[in-house]
Amino acid sequence: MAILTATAFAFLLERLDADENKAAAKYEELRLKLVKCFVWRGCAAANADKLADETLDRVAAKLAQTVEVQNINAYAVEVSRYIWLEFKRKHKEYAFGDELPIITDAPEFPDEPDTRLSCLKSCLAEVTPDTNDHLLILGYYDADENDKNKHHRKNLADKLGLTINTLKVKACRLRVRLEKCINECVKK
Amino acid sequence: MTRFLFHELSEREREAFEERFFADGDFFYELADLENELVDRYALGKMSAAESSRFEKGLQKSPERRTQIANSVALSKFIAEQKSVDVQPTLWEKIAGFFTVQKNLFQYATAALMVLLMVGVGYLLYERARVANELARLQNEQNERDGEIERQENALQEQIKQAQEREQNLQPELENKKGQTEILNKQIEGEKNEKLKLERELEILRKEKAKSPVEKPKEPQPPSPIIATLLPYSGGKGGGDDTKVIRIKPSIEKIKLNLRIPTESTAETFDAKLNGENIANGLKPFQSKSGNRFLAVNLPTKNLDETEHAVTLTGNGEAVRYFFRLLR
Repeated sequence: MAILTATAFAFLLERLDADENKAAAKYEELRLKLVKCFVWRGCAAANADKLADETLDRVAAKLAQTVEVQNINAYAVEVSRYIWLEFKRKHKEYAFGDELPIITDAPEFPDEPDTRLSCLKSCLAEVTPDTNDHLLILGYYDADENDKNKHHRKNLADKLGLTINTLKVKACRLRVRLEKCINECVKK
Repeated sequence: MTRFLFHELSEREREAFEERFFADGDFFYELADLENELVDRYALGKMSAAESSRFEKGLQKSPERRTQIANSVALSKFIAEQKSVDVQPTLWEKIAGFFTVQKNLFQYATAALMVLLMVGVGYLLYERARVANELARLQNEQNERDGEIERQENALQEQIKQAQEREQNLQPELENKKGQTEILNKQIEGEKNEKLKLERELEILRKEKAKSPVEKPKEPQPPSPIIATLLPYSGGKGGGDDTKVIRIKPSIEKIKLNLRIPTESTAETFDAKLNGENIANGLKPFQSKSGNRFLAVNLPTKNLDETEHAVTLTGNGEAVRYFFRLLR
């Protein structure tokens, strides 16, 4: 596990963008990409967070060692692959890759619907304290409305004063945060 | 993207795909959005059988997606609940609902009124079309009548024109007639004056006559009849002195024939015939101073031409004939 120093983290942010706010946003987006990438590789969400942080720490440490990195995103994805391989070697039980047999039966799902729903309600209040964010996530993922009206999301974007692309980005980010909150809540 | 999410790409393809979405933020969110959509559709049972099969195979390599599906179900439930809660009326909404019912009643009444209105409008449109047709028909009839009247008017005007022309032609004749009438009136007036003048003269003469009586003029006497004495026929027919020729003026209307009875005749009365036709019966002869007896017969001259005529006297079984001719 790499030890992230304050200097290394500051150096990483500076490489991402000279502007602190933009640098922070880019850092969050890079981290989100890493988390999703680990999940899509078959990693559990809780471990994906840790692996994403580990990836970012290593990238920052390399940058602090004055190693020349042309493209931080490309470098980060390379680093994440090594980390994922290491993780699979250490935790065979989490390795859901080609090693596992294909299950043809219907998959099992977590059996705590009431708890999950309850957690979702509390998490919504936590993740979307802003009314617009609340309206955004509920409106964007309202399947019935989307089925009924193909312009529903466009109308929602207009209502919130956003472009359809920005609406999509914000909805994805909110959903990731909401699901993380729900998962943690259910575990508790 | 779907093949990536369903774990259908090779390791090399997956690495290339990862590099792409790390480099392209929009592409990454597109991918994340597609994953959420697939999870939601699966959770709501909106996938086809083939797509579900692919999705479930992909689940073997993405165990975290089971949690995503559970979260999707929870989110869908919450959204549905939220919408139903939004629909649940509050106290104020219930109070407002009362008025909404009234409003609905009003809306039904309005709808009914609208239906009636539409029916009414439909009827009015139909009626309007019918009246328009009727009007057009009447207009045509009126036009035809107008045309007929115009034709008659033209004919009358033509007749008036002809009459005026005749009047113009007759005007000189009328003037001429007037002139003649004036002349005749003058003549009548002159005649009247003449008549008055004569009446005055007559009156004067009558007055003078009353003072000195004038000898009454003799009435014109008809010409005296010609008296001719005829002797009885004694010999052959048409012979010489036996036919009496009597010369008369054309104005003589009657002739008197004195027929001498033969001496040997003893009859006292005679019947007379002219050219075989009986003209008198029971005639008695008279005796002259010389002792000869004569029988007078009057004959009108109008039926006697200038040929020879015969008078036959029969009496006591004897017949005597007399011949004469008239020369005018």
